[in-house]
Amino acid sequence: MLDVINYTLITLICVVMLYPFMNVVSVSLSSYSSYVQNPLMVWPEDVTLGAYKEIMKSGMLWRSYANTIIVTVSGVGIGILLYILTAYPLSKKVLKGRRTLMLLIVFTMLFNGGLIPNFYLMRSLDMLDTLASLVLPALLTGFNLILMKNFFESLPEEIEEAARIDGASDPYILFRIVVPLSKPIIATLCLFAAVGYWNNFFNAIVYIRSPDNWPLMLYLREVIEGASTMARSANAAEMGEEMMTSETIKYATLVLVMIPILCVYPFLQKYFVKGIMLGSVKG
Amino acid sequence: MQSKHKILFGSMMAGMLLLAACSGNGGNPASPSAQPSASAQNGNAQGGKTQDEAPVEIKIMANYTKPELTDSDKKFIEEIEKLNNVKLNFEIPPATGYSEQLQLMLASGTYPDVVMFTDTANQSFQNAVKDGLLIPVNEYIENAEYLRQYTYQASWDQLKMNQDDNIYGIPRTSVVRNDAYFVRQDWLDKIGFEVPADFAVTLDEFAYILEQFTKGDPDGNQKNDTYGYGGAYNGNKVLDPIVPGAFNLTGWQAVESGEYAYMNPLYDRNGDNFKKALEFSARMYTSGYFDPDSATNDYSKQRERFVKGLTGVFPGFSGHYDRLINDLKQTNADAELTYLFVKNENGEVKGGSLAASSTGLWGFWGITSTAKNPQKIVDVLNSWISDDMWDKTAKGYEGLDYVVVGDKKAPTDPPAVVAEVRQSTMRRANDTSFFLTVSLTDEQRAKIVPWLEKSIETVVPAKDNAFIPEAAKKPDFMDYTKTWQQTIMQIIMGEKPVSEFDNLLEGWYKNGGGDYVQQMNDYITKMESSK
Repeated sequence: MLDVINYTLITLICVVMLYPFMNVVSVSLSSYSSYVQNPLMVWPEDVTLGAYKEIMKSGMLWRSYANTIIVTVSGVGIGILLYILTAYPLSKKVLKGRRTLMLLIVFTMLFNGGLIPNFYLMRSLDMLDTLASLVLPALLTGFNLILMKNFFESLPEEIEEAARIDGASDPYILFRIVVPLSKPIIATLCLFAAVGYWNNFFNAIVYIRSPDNWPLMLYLREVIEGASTMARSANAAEMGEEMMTSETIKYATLVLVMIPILCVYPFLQKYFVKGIMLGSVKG
Repeated sequence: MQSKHKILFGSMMAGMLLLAACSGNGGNPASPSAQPSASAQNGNAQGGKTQDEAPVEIKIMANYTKPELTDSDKKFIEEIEKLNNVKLNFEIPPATGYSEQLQLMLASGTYPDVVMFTDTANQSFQNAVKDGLLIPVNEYIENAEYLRQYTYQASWDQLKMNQDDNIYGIPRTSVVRNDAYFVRQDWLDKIGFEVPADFAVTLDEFAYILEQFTKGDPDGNQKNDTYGYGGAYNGNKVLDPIVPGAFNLTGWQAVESGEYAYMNPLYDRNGDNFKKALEFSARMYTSGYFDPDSATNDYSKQRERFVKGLTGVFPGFSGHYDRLINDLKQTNADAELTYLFVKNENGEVKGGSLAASSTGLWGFWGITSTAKNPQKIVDVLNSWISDDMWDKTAKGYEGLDYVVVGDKKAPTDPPAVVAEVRQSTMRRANDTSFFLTVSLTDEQRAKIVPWLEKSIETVVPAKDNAFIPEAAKKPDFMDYTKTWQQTIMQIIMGEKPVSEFDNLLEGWYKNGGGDYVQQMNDYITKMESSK
């Protein structure tokens, strides 16, 4: 009896969670008039690929995709290397000034320069309107660094001592012994970093001027909200109806943006779950 | 020993921080910004010294929905560049982040030559004027024939920010008009209502239409599934009373009697026009003649539900007829549209507005103090609406934006992508032909021209020029504004009686409304006396 209740409840929750996805996909595959008649549709009506064809015409979607992939891959790659190189020495108790360094790192987690100082910093480094402005500021975060440091601290020292006795140098120990043992935390941080880079749009609003450098999430935000944002301004009726983006096109853009995440997430889900508990303080 | 190391390390960190703070140019604004008047004064002199050979580079920061230039945009810009010997560089930030980009640009010290601002109430604009980042354009527009001819005087007045004669921008003009209501003609036929020849109905007739659209099964499907009025929330996410013109809600006007020389009916303690408008709207809402989702509909949802056939009356601009009827016919091939105005008690159609007066200003271009050649910028904007260029500004180019069939322009197949930069950079006042798109048939054109003309004829310009008194920026007043908006909405939805408005108005005066009215009167008196 309990099983029946459990399965029923879980099924209902699944349906409730699945419905928005099905609605978005269905609307993207339907004609505008079908959407207007039945905006809450579950299955596509009057199926058409018109919305997708309209989006494919614009090169901006693919440029934005490329920008986001470049930013994510380079950000994750460089970031993980920096995390390893920073967290490993911090995990060694013999490091002089370790506490002070950790305090400084925690300080950055609590306080930030703010929007304008960061903008000035990017400008003075000639990084405005470049993809580097989307990658470099977010390379290292205090929280993730502490996670990795804690994981390194949990590794037995005896393994490193044994390797040292056998004549291994510090870089060798780090990259050939410690890193292979740290795959769980590395995979977790790769995931966190990748999701952070993939979803970020605010840095692009601040640092990016040229539409050629727009990341995917900014492009998506513009498609969904751009016309509405302008329509809320004074004398919005001047815009012209043709400048309002059709709902079918908005939803089709959403689907195209969602696809990579939907394909990748099922394989990485377990790392998300493990990663949340990883690096937690041990007794 | 350890404590010595700590002291040494701490000193080093402090030294590094000090060095970092003091090095570089931090965020010091470029020096020209400290001397805006000098730049402005030099503008004309620099214009005279401009090299004839080399085009003047003009950097423009603009707000459009799409950042990419279409082929039509590019062709048009090329013509403008050749005409004025300039090179235009457009910087188009994302529309959703334009206000952030504007603030950053103003804080950065590096300014483009021309910047689009959406509203004179925009704090970034007001700060830019105060800090001397924007220059007055008076001397540069003296010979701008088309700007002077096709811009409303009220738009220029609105840009006189310091209440002197200095104008701090070039208006992007749009047509000042009295928008009325699209109404389902086929539904009117079903309920037996004949549209008057002048497209104007009385308030009682309008109420009857809403009632019959709700109760009279106008779509003939034997179901009680239609509503009269398709409502939506305004920019403050609350409902407004409908048909303001029928209640003479025409903004700030001169009054014959009372404590003040000028008054807005919303705040008039001696009149009850606004209260009557509230009562009418509340009656329509509580009778069920409004779309029940009105309080949560934005513009696009409001339009969708009208296109779906859920509502029969939709407030809108008659120039948008063609796309609306096309979408309507996709869901119902028999649908037809008409356009109705609502008369006041004297039988007149008078434009009504609850918002700040429309001066025709649909954003404007501010010229920064670092612009090397302000005269060229004005020349470019002037040529955009010149007689030579206007047809191309409005309609575009053959082959790109339209084709010629016989002797008429027709839409391309597939339809051309909207050239937003070409069409939305500058427009002419009172030019309704702009909105007569090539996709309109002759029959449709004949239909909407009288609507457009009536919209323009029945405008009653208010006298405030969208001025915002200082009293409106006080915390008490701003807090009470929220109370005002919420109470108005509650009255319309029937949650509070109409009589509650009297208390609301008294509360408004107590929370800074008196100062607001006085300052507005002072402003209008000054503007009127300078005419």
